[in-house]
Amino acid sequence: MPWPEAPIVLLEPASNLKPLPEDKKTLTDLIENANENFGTYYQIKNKYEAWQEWYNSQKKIYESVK
Amino acid sequence: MWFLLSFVPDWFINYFVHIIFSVGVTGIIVGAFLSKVPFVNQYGVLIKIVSNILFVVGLFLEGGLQTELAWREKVADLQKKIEIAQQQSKETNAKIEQKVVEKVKNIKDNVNANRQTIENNRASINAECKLSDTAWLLYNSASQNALARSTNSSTGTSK
Repeated sequence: MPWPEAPIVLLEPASNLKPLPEDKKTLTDLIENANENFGTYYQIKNKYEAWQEWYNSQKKIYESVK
Repeated sequence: MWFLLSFVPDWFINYFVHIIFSVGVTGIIVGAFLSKVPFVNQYGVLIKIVSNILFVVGLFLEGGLQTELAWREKVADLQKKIEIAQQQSKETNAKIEQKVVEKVKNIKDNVNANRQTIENNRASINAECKLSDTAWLLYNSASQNALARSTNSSTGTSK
């Protein structure tokens, strides 16, 4: 049985958390940056969970072939 | 040599083997009968010898044929299962992909909504506090998973 292809969205590289630029030192800058970084975290978490789902479902399909 | 059989259609091998076996069995019966008939009994012996050879070869081929057919059935069954599995795999991938795309969209929407709220409250938030250099440094170190360089220059103020 050929190796199953993974969804393309799961193969995209994970983005890094963004640092706060040196000229941005107000509280809103901090919150904006944190907001963006939390968004990045949730996107990566979402993909991580999708990888787990992909693995479990592909394993189940593979075992059904035996 | 046997792998060459996989290129020959099932029906042809079936007929071929059954014919050899049937000719062998018939020949044995005919040979036994003819060997008792005067004048032609010398042909009966010849027919018996040839028929016995055909019978043995036919029996061997019948066994081989049944094994070959059983394997072909297993291969066909497995191929069908693999095709179904590949289809299921594709469908699962499509579902996962759709789910990921939807969730990412929701996350981005929430980030944008929060950004808008921050923008709307910019003045009031900044009136309360300004970041010190140390806080800025520590925040960036934490977000980049780096160690903060030692600094005591708390030039910022917070009310």
